[in-house]
Amino acid sequence: MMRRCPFLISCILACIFITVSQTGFKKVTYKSGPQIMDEVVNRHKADSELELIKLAIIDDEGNTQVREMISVFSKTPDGEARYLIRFLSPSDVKGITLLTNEANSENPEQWFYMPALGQARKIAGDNRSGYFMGSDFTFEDLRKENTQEHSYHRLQDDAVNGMPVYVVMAAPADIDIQTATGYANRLLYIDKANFNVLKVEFYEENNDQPVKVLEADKYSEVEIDVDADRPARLRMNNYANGTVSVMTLLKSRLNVPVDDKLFDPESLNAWTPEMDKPLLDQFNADS
Amino acid sequence: MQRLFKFCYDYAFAVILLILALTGYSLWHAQNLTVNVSTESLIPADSPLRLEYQRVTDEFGSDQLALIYVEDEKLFTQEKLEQLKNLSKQLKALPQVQRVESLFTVNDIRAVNGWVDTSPLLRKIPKTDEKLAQKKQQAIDNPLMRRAIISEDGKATVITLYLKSPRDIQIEREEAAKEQGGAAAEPLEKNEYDKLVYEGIQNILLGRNQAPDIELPPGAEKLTPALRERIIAAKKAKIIEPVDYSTKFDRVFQVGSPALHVLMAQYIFDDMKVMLPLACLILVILLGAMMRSFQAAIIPVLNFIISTAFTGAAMVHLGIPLSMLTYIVPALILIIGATEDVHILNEFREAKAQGKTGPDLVVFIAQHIGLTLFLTGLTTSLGFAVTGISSLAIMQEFGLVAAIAILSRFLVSLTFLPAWLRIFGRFIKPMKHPHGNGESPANSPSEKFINLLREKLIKHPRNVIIGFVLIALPCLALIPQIRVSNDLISFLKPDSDIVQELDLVAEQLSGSKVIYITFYGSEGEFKKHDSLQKLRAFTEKLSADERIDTATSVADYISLVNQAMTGGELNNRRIPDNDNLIAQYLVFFHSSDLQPYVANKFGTANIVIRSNLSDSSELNALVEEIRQAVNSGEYGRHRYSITGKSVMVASAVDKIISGQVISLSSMTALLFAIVGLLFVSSRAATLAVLSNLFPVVVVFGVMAAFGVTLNVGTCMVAAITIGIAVDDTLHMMVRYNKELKRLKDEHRAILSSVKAELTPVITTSLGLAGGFIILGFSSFVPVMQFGLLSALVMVLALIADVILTPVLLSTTRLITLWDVLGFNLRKALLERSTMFDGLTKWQAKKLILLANLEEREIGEFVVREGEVGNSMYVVIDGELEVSKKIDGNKIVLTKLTLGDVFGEVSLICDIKRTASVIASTDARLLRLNWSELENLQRYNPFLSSRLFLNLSRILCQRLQSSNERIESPAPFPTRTPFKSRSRGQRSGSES
Repeated sequence: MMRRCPFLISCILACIFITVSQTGFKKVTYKSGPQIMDEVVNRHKADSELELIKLAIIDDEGNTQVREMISVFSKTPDGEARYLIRFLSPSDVKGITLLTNEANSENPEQWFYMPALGQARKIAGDNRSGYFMGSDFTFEDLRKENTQEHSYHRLQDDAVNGMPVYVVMAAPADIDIQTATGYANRLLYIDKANFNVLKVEFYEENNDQPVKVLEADKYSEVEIDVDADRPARLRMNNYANGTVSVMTLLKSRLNVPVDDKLFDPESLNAWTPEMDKPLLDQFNADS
Repeated sequence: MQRLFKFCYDYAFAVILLILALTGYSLWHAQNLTVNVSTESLIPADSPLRLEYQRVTDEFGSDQLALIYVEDEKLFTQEKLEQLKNLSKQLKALPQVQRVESLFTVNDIRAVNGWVDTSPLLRKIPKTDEKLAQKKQQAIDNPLMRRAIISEDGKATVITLYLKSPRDIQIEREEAAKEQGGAAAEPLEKNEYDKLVYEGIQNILLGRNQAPDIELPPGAEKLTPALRERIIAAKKAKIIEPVDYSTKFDRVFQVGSPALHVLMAQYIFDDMKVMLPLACLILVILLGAMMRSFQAAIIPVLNFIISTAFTGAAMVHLGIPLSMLTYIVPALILIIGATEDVHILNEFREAKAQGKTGPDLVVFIAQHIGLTLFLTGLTTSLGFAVTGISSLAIMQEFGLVAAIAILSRFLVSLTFLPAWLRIFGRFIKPMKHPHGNGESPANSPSEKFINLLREKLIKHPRNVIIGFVLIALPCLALIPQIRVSNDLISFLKPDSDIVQELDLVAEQLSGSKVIYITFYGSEGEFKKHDSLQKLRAFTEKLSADERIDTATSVADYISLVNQAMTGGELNNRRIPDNDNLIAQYLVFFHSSDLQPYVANKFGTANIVIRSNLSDSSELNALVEEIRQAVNSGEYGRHRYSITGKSVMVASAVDKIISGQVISLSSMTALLFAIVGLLFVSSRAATLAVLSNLFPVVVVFGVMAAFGVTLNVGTCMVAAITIGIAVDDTLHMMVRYNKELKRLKDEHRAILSSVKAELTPVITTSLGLAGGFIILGFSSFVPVMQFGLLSALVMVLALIADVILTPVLLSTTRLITLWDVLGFNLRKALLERSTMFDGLTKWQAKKLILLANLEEREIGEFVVREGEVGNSMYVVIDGELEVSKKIDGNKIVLTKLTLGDVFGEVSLICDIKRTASVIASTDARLLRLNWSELENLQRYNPFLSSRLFLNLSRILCQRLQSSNERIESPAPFPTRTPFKSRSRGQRSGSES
């Protein structure tokens, strides 16, 4: 009996807590734009990430181009983010690799490897508003939200597909970022329940219609290792060209160990198709 | 016609009021008239190119451009570039813009630290002079930018706006309307589209645009005021305030099709506003001077205004805009209508001179020229309607509008004019020397001319015809050299602002004409090195052509990436031999970067050519050369197409020629048919056609000699020529027919006709020529050419009408259809007279009318015994008595009645008349003499052969009866022998 007591007490306490919290005894704090965004970033952060992605680029005629790629994210011990994206198919682009080190710094280091050329090249300058590999995603669309670079304003709440959402306007924090970015501002629609971003509208200057709209869905269907959601599908509608790019997350692992050698620019030159195998195997390994 | 004239005369006030009210209503309505000078209407509706064009532009984007040219000595400074960027952003926000190409958008594919950077050249504007100079050099060195975006000296740049098609904008509007609750979308007129684009751009350039309103995002009203202020402030900082860019740069202006169309419409309007009233004024002065009456001179102008208003209203009602062709219609109404009015007024003055008053005045007009008026109105309207038989919308519209205009002009002449004459006719002076009532002084120019005609010309028709042929032949030979052009820019004077601006843009950068060469291959083909290498070779060949300013294909992009990826050396600007490498290079581009150049998964490739060729024949030649080059197989064997709006417009040149041929030949055929029918003679029809083709041939010859191109403006001159010439010719022919009946002699009749028609023909021709010369001062080239050529036509038609037509006519004899129909030929005559043996009733009528009909009153001699005569007669009507004096006593030998023939021996040989013939009742006789028989042989060989046959029969019977008489006691001719059958019947009935 005694053993049950703490459990009972805790149950009762829990009930009281829930009742109190639900009846307004506890003051619900109003979340500001930056607070919401911090929550978003925190909820989705991971030390490393492994993703198998299918990228479909659909032009305004309905022609579809499909590419498969693997995306690896890892943090250095001192917290600097590193990305590696490598094409797996179709065969003529297999092995094309984009490596970004020091992604959060002022001057991220980027390398590009093209198997047909055989030599990795360093990319100079900030390329954030450039399109990623012929898709409708720009490099900045694919980055993790950098809350230092934007100022956030919370707007009136709304609903996306029946889900109540926060609406946050993100504007470039300073003139340099404003010049570098392709957007005047963005509106982020964030699920109130779990802080998943459901929709992003991208606006250009002097234009009150979004140029692009990103829709993220199927959050729950992802195989996950930790308590952080990932959307299984990202659909970018490019209204400027009438094209659509869809990224489908085929497989995903979070916080798995990643070989540091992957992020060494020198190792890019030694790439062979076989070298991807250990990476691919990791998707199927148990956590 | 008489009744209509009389009615309008009797109810003059009511008619005038009604017409004026209608005019007012029409004018009010006509205010809604739209102007459309777009090239759309120059493309045949059924053009097979149209579908291909639609497909290609759907795939590769619009080929309709608006170019904003910006020139500044210090273009590559931070300040200027910032302004340029703002301008470019403002332009991009225009709703009609599909895509913008500028220094800020075009991929600047270059090697940077061993890497390839494909981002636009000026994504960020550098702050240091050194970097700015570097960027400038990069732009100049980039083949995708040099001349396409930046001039070779780097001081001029162009912002190219690729425009959405009107169709797309219409669709967008409909969708927007649907969203807003299903209200019908505002339809978008073609001209409205050009105006929208032109003015949108112009407002931005001159800083007349509104800064966009600051729109807060949805839900912003619930923000705290402080936050809202911040958002507003943040947004405000980004808004580009309107700036007058003409003060910011040395030079900034727009060119391209919207500007061209809008400015051209303006030119047309401005020009017409000055030229038409001026032409009217000149017409009034000239007509007034020649008719010595201001009242008479103002009438054509009044009628012109009324029918122009009617036509304008009709155009609004039918939804036809004022186009490059329909704008000529007012001039047409003025010219062709004035001819009619002068004829009517001339008759009116003659009627006055003859002492007619009241309604008799207008009835006189109707009697004299009612038929001609009707015919000319009909032929001219039909003639213009026929020009509408074309697949070019512009031609169809013109045909319809011109036909309506002429018809309404004709109706105004028939209704308003008689009513007007009732009230104001008293101020019009009677004609000084109406024909038949007196002679002009022998030394007056018109009398001198008539004398010349009488003494020299008519007597030697062959020489006159040879003279005209000698003039016409060289002209005819020159005709094939006429160049055809379907070019808007050539319509503007070379020194006009827009042409100079276009030339400047073309010289510094590239022209605004876009041609797409599209190759259709299998999927992925244009990712392969062999296809791309051929594509590149072809693009380079095209670029080397000096008529082509730029030629760009996907091969250029890949070559540039290759150059950048392999160290940046120029000799690496080529297509690599490795297909995988090409595929990997392509990942640098977003599909929209290459959208103008490849489609269908690299199965279709497009070469975009920019050129300043505005002359359609040159453009056609270029397209043909490209076609030959592709067909040679040197650049691969693919199905291909060469399209673009300019290509379609240029290829429609053929349609102008075929339209010319159709309208000219149908006009000619119509003229032939109508004259042939009216005067029941193919000979008369041929003569009329010949004398009307003369001015046409000469005008074309002059066009060729002076290098005037056949364009949508000048191609109307020929139709107008015929329209005018036909009027005068018909007036002349009808008059000649009447005079022939009166005077019975071709030469006298034609001289009398010329004398009567000379004044109106000269008056109208010179008056109109004067009016048209005024149009020659127009700043709008087609109007200028149209004016000068039309003036020339007036003079040529005048010469043809007073010399060629009379000379040709004098060789024939005219009867009208109405004469034949109205002639009451008794059936008994045909049955009884050998003279008409084997002839149908119609032929007999024609024969009788073509010969001379004489009327004799009771008791009048037809032939006198003992006189020498050369005519034979057939009794058509009445009774005659044959008598002979024997020993001083008149002995009646016999009576002649219907169908009897006498005097036939005198016809053949000069014998004295053996008896007298006196009309015992009023009688009508058909008289034939030898020269008339010869004439008849010419006009109508079939009839004359019949006639000679019948004549021989008569003579034979006469011989027979003479032989009988020799054996009988009666020595004198008795009755004419009759046909055996009828004689039998007759003798039977007599006995």
